[in-house]
Amino acid sequence: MKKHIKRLLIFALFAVSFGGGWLHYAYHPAAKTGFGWVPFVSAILSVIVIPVLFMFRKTVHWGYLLNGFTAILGTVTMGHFSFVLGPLWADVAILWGKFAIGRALFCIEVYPADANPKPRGWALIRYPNMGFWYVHLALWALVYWLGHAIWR
Amino acid sequence: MNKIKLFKPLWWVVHVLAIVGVAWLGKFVQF
Repeated sequence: MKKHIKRLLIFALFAVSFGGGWLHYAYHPAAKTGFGWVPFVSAILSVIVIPVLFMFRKTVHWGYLLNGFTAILGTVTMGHFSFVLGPLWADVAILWGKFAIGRALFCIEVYPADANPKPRGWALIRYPNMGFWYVHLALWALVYWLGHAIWR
Repeated sequence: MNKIKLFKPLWWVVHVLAIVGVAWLGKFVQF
């Protein structure tokens, strides 16, 4: 059953990413605006590279990291867009669906079925726990904003 | 489980590159 669930989740990850990439390509083809390359490259990673990384036990950690950071990248850039031009929070919500699928794939592969890890203290914000992602989302947003506001 | 160790040379390389990269992304993306 585990293999079957894994295959379903990998397909879900592929389908969500493919849908997201397709939508983006319709919004702004990569060649037309410079920053159109950002979703284009993220989509290639999410549709092809990340599902393949999740297929093999050896590369699950890389899939988990890439999946999480592409979700953060999309959240920060689309959050920026949402404040400046128009709300894209629905798209951000889809992205966190993609994140959750990746985390489910990671957990099913790395932890025993009945595990109930309870990280405490410093471990809360260390890889691979959720705090790691919250800290990286907050710091990524801060650094991105500083780059946007200060770097000329 | 392979844990990424904090404060090793690779950790610094990854984080310095990531900070510069993300800041550059903030500069690059102009809506």
